[in-house]
Amino acid sequence: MSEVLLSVEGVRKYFPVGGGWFAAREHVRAVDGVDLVIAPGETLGLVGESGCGKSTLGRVILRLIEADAGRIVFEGRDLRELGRTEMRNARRHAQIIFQDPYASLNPRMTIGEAIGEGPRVHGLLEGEALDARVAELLETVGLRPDHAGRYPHEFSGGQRQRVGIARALALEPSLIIADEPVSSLDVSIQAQILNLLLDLQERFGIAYLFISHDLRVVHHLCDRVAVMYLGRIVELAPSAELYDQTQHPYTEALLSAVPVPEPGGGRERIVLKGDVPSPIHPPSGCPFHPRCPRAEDRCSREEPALREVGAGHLSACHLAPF
Amino acid sequence: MSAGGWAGALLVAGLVALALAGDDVSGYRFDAQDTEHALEGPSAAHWMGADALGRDLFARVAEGGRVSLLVAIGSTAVAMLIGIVYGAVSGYVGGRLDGWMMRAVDAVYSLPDVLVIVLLTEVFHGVLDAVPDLYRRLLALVLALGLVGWVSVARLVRGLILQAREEAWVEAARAVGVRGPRMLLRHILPNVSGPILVTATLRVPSAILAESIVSFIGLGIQPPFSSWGVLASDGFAAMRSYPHLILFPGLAILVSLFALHLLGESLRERLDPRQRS
Repeated sequence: MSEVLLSVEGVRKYFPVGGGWFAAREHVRAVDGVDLVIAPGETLGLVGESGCGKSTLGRVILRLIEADAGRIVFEGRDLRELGRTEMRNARRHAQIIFQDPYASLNPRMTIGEAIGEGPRVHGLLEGEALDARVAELLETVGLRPDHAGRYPHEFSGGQRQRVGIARALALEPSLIIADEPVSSLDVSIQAQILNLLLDLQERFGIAYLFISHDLRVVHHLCDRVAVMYLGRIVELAPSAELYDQTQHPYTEALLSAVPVPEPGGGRERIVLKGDVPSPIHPPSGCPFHPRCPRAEDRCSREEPALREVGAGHLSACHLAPF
Repeated sequence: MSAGGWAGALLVAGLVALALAGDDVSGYRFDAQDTEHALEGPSAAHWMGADALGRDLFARVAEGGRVSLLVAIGSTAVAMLIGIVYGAVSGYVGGRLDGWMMRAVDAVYSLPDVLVIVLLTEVFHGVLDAVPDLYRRLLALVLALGLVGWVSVARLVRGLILQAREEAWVEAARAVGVRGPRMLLRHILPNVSGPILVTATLRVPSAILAESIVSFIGLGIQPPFSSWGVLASDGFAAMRSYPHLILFPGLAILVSLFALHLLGESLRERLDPRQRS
């Protein structure tokens, strides 16, 4: 990979919890040293269980949440070193689509105002030019231009998600962070929205960081996939290879849980022991070792580094390649 | 606008018209005494009866409406203006500034209202030396009541804004580059305007009553001028023998409360696109 659009290096975000007069302040390690690279026009999937830090990572990249450490280099500039105004301009080409299309639209604003707001506040367009741009965007995402004056409550979930996509497109982004964009939609609508995203990528060359917990969707959509567990990336590989030559026991377990539409088909189901450990006190050594069916002695002592185990295939497991 | 909204608007307009043109309608001056008819109940001549000095009660209720409505709406406006700005800044900026601003509110809140009103009224009487007496008293009342009332508005607004700040659409707006004043004015405040409006309509009747307390102490409106609050508290003393003395000023307060509430409720609905059809 020669060209780099976004490079995330050693990014960490700990949320303080508790703490008071008598209790020590502790930290939830939401993102605990993540490295990622996204090329222009590429789709990188980011999968993991709820609470593994994948949404936090997406927001940290856009500086909607401030990281504690690390570098976020987007279009050649480290976003974390920029001042507020510079950062706002630099961030223009990095946008986000939210999980909940109901909560992420201001109920008191027409969808036309919402979509046009980005260009307006950046001083790019106004007046009739802005209206024309909004109409064009509505058409691009498959809505009728004359709906610009309507309010969000007049639309269905799928339509609202289209509005959210149009809002992100308005600033001509080169990167869109899609934070579970279809997980709150009906299955019949999911495919439409995914196809829209693919279509837009083809037309505008947008790169996606596609955050999801649905492995089928990710497989269908992504060039490469990163698997996250307890704030760290445990495996990263080209999409097909991740599924065919899994090199981390956690990924194996995740994949075995994907339902396969044939009786008796699919993989041997791996049922993990116990729950996800607390991100406040992650286990010693490999964070996955207490639940790992392959765990050995050293897994509880030594922390595995994310290392290359095949061409473009990274795994944070002592035992890889299997 | 809904039927309730029209009814409210009509009632408010009626009350204002009554307050402005009261004397002319009844044909009596509010301070004209006619001791022969003192304490008479309602009749064709005196529609709401007469008071202890034989003054026409209708004319007095109309005249009192000027004071009551002016003071109540004026002081509510002052309280809302200060409270919304203060609470919005405190809640939106947050952090340490929010902490200090709210400690200041706590300090003001801990002082007894009546004491502060008395002090402020005195201060404003002094400051507004050049203004003619009746207007000076009115202005002092408006400012004093407003300066006491803003603290609870500020608390409410701050709480609403803290809550709204966590909404997903605020984060979404931030992602496209919306910041500072625009976020507050275009996104957050419109979404919390409902409860703020309702508070405003509820403050009006309590301001009418507060004015009567201040006037009773002797710092507010002085005879022969009056207000609904003063008329009602005067009438309260003779409630058993002459119920009309409290009935009519009381009704005026009740109707104004009702009308403002209807109007406020309808405005709140109109401002919310989800409830517009």
